Amino acid sequence: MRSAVFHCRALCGAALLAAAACTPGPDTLPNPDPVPDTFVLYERMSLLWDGAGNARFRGFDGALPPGTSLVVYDDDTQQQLHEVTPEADGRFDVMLGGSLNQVYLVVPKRGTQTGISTRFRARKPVDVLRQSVQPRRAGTGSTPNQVVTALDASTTGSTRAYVVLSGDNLVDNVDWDSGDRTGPVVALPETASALGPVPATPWAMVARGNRGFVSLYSQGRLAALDLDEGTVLGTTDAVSPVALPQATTVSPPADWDGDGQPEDTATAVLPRNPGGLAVMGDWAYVAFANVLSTVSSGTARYAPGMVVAFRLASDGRPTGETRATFTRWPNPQHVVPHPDGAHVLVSCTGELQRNGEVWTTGPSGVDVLDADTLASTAGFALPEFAPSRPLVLPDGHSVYVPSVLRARLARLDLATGAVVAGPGGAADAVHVEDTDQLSTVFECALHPTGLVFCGVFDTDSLVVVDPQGDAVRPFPFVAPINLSELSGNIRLGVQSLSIRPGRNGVDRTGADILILLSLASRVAAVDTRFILGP
Amino acid sequence: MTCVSSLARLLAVLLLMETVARAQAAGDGAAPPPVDFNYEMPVEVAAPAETVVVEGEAIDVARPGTHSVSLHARQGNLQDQLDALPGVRMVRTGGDGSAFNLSIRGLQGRRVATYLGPIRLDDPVTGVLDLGEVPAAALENAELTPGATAASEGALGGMLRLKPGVPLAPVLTGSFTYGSEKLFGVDVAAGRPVTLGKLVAGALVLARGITTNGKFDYEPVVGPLDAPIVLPARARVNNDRHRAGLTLLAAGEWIGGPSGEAVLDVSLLKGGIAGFGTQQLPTPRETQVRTAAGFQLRTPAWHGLEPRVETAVRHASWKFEDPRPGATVKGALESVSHNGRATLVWAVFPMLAADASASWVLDAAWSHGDSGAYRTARPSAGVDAGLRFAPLSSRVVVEARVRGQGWLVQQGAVPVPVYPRGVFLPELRASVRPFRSLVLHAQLTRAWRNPSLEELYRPVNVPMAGNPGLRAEDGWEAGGGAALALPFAEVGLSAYGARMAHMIAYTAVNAFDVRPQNVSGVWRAGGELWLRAQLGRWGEVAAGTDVNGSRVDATGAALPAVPLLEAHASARLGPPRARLVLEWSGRSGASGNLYGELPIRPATRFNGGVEIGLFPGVEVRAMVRNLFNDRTQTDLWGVPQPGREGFVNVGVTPGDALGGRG
Repeated sequence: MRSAVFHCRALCGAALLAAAACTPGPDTLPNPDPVPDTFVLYERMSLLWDGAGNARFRGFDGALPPGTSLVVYDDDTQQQLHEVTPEADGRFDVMLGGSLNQVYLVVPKRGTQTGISTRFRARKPVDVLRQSVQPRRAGTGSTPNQVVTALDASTTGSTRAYVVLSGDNLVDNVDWDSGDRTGPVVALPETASALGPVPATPWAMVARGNRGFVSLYSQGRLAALDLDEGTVLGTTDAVSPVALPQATTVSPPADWDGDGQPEDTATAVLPRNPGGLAVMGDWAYVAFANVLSTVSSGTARYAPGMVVAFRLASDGRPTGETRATFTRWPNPQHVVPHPDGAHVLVSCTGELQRNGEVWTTGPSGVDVLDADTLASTAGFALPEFAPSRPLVLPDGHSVYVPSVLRARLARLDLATGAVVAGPGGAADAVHVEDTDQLSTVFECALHPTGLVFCGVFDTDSLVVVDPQGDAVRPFPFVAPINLSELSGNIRLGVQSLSIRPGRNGVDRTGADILILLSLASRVAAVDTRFILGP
Repeated sequence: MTCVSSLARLLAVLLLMETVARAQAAGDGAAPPPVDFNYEMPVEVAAPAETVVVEGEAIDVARPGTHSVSLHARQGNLQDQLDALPGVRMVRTGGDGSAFNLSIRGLQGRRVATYLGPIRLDDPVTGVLDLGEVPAAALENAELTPGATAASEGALGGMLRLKPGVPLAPVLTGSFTYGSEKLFGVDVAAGRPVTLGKLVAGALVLARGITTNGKFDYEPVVGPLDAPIVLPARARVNNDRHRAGLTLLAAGEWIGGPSGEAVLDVSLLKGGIAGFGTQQLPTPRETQVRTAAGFQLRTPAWHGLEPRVETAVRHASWKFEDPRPGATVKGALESVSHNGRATLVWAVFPMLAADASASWVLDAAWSHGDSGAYRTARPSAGVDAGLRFAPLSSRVVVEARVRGQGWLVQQGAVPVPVYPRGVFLPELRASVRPFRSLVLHAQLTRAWRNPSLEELYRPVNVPMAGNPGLRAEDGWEAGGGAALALPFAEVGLSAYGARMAHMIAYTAVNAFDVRPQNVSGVWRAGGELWLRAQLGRWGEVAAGTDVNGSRVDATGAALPAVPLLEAHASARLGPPRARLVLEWSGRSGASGNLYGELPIRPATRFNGGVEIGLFPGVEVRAMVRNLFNDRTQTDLWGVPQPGREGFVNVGVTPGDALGGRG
């Protein structure tokens, strides 16, 4: 698995198949030297040709600290071309002119201090966007659902990413550097039921140090893992039915409380189908979608969604202490920590239904829960938007929320409690793709440059959005990063992505974005060093 | 090829003996045997061409590339015997008694055509056929044509014809099987010939039942293709099968007049459908009832003209439900398929013959419940014309056929012409016999598979809905081979190269929906090599290997669940009444999806057992499968297989001492 040499199929004896499929190795970097470690962050700069034939030199968030500048020279003539000074956030954007293949010498300055200079060779965006992709970094097992990296990987020095395999009931791992498995695999056991064994169906995961926390969709539980040992430290007991604030009429009758009998008046709901989770302090917050029946068995039906908080011991094991609350909207799918550390954000996708060829949802939104009391303190209604996993932006109060039905992003402001862009907001949602057709963005991830990478399931691509001005495909990411090398109407299915902490090209080299392709059972990689940096 | 009654075959053998005797007396070639139309479908004549027989298995020199195997209880169960044929693989859901599907040269489902007499068995709606439902004890012969053929719709991978046997003498047989996974099986057959004036007839009735809980421990192999992981043992559940069936066979001949035969088969199935999947959630469960009836009628030749008629009706009812309290999953699917064919054969000269036939098919289905409600029907009609030229005393046989087929695609009452309404399917086959024991053959064939009704019309409000915009799969195949038949052995090899356009596969169209789509063209190539040898009275040995390579254009990967290499060997050693049976099979690994990912591990297994004839009319067969108890084995598609398992079969044939069934 995951060797640098991709899968080559020798079809011995098959004369007509002489042209076996050999995926080429990744392109080599135009400048493979390490990025100089100096007081400017070269890895957040790009120098590429724009469509008008100019060399455009951009720096993103924090590229140039305040009080610093860059002096750009023509490397051949040593003639100074430009002195670049940053904006408050460390960004800059200048046109340098020049000719194709020109090399620019860039010298950083801070007061009278000169930093380590480096050379940038101007490149074409289309070329580097293509070269940055490694279509198969590793294979996965069956029905992969998420790829995650430990929250503290940069401080612990961990080089692993983890892949949650819902079909195989495993948590596997892939090394960022080698693409190989470097740690033990965690197998999640079945449980017994009156009708036979129930698989774990791991759904979502948070990794912290050598501890992992995984929601087990089919068993309605949370498991704590020792990722170094490959063992299950403990699992929560099945949660007891949670009393509704008031009795609710159920029509037609359905089994809300899990006693095996449909009821026409429900007083409690058995938590079912745990999905997204967040870990803050000693608590793990898990969203329970409470799906009663899926579209596969007719019209999908949902009981009210809820979030259950599980207390964790110091070693990560669940203590058995729980709290639970119902969410404002049905079908909660993701939980992420609020930047204030005292709340969690819960995205509720709403009751997804199929109406003929069209998928729709009803009321949906993002709920804000107090981490201690689980009381809902705010909510962002996003009617018919079907929000997926929220992403807190670098300013600490803005949040992007992608939609699973349209390739759109809603923008929320936690400080004002307003929907900035999206349903009910002052502006239209950010269009990741220019289509009104069904198109799904499950996840977006924040890059150290401050740019947001969104995976589009239906086009097998990453689209970059700059939160500054909500610019879609900002230079130099002028086109979607196409992850597919397939032809025809076969999709790979961009499900999840993870960005490696640390400084790319400085702390380490190689891919810094892993993309989980769920249909292909494969992990792809993108090395942004092809686009960013010298 | 249509089914030939045993009576007619007996007459044919007598005729052949006489013909051969005359030919031998006059020198080879002096008295050419009659032209044989047995080659492929639609027609047959009474006198088969020269056949080289190796104790029940035969290669017909006039039908090279077609494998024939005699079936009877003493030689083991149906799936094992079919599995041993070149190019064939049985895709199993578990051990003995579980469901199994036929795969020929890596293709399965509706891409292979399976017939019981005149009845096409594979479901026109779903394409699925569990061969475990077939009345194996009523079969006398199975004939396999590997590779694409225009002779049957959809037969891109090949065609299997199961021929029921009708008694030539009073017969009463029974067998009982007991084995692992709580396998119990019993079948009883009785029949006798009848003579009423000029009418000679025979009838057989067979009742059968088999049950297994399908439960075994296995060690799942999961994870990525290039770094699979073996997990601790777990139980395979929801895989139980409970079957019962009743079969009536009848054949008759008006001496000097018409002859015919009829089949009626009813089978019932209940079971869990862990089935061919790797998941084993305790839902849902299924109930199937299948009824099939068909008959063939033929008249003697009149001035070289010989008309034949065959027709069959098949009805299948499939229901499933989720047994969990409060669950609402329920559904039902009914299908009716009627096919018929009228053929006229004209033996123009001894070396030239022609045939023409008209055929018709009506497939209809209606579904309700959670599987999606719809009603649809698809009538189609076709004409075939064939010319067979056999100069040089059958040393060279050239046969050219062309089949034209047209159909009406219909949803409800509204015709929807969503794909071409007609196609011409040429087929050219030639064989040369440079020496008496050597046959070389080659063929070029086009085959065609219309999308199944479910692939087209399953409603959009259910998962894996149909796609009315599907195009048919269109395949071309070229191949050839050689067979050498010696008095004590037979060696053969064959090779093929094929191209399939518009392959249909269920793939995701978005994040929520999976539908059948024409995903790609596919290249396929491979071949088979086999050897069968007799050791006199002391047994027989057989070995073979298959190579099946493929490349899906869209992904560059091989077809999923198709191993590049498979091999098998078997030996039956000892005197006729006490034989040691040794079997080995192995295959290379494969990938589990269209992208070339997911592991299907290489596997090899040994089976061993004994066949003992205690005394005339009583035979005992005891086998242990997977002798080394490898519980990591999976079948194609990663379906778990059991570790070591055993079974004992006791067959009683009181009539054997008196002659038994012919």
